[in-house]
Amino acid sequence: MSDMSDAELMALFRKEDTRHYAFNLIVRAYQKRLYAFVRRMVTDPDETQDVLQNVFLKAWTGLERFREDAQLYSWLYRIAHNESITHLKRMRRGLFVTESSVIERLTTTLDSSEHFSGDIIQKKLQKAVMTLPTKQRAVFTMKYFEEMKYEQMSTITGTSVGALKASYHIAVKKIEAHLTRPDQTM
Amino acid sequence: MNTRPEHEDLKSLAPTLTSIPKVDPFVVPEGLFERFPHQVQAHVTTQVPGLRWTPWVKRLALALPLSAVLAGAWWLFRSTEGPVEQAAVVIPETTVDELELLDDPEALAALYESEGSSVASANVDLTEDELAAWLETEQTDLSQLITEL
Repeated sequence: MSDMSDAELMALFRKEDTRHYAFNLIVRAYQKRLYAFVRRMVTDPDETQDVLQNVFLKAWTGLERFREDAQLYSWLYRIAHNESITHLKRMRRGLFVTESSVIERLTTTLDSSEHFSGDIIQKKLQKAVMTLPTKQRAVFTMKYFEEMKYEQMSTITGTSVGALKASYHIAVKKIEAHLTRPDQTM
Repeated sequence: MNTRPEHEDLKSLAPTLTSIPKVDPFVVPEGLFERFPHQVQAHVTTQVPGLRWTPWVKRLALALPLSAVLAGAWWLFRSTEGPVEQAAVVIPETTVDELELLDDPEALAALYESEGSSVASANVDLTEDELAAWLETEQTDLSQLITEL
């Protein structure tokens, strides 16, 4: 990870001869944190990689217009959030695609030890997260796993703090209900 | 980070959820974070700089074909309405040479012959003064003309 600040990285990016170098540093600086979020949303490692690649390609084309009064991480996170949601919506398209078939596809990787190292309860939690609607899943992931502040989440999602709080509250209740349901054994 | 009251709220709302340790159980493919920046860089360098779909470009992309369609429709509507204004009559410019040619009796006779009936059938009504002036110009003997007729 680079020790440079966002302002220093952006100053390098704005110079023609150091643009690629600066962008490489930006990718290295934020790839792990963004990967963690996208992976929780998409679950499949290959699809996560594709989504993350799109995130950085969009960042490359839009970075010139990036306003430095915003945080670079929040800006990149916003792209990652939108790309993940677009990807999940795309998965739901199709005449014979049902909600359950999408959840089944999303949770397939959880059954492979090559891709998932968690225990039974972790797997159960991830499967519960998969059942949430796409935007609610993003809200839950940001708040519960990433412990993000509502104000930052509001900047990323473009949703009001009140709406985010309500969405998170409902998501937590749904997941708790899923976890305590006796028939859901893993 | 979560504040304490927030965490307490969560604990009372979802005790099972909060009892699960927060770990990242997803396995990252080996060497991904070493490879990935190079992959992105390779895509970036081969990326063909295209038109950026900024909101302004999007609006223009919609407005241009729409105005072309509207202009075409307006033009079609106008052309099916019939002639609004009478087209200007284009009169070929008569050159000075052509006017002089009309003064030449031989040329005029040749024209008379070539145009045939159309010229012959032309309705030429002369007034008495015009007729007198013509006879004088042609030095025609009026008594001889009357005899011939």
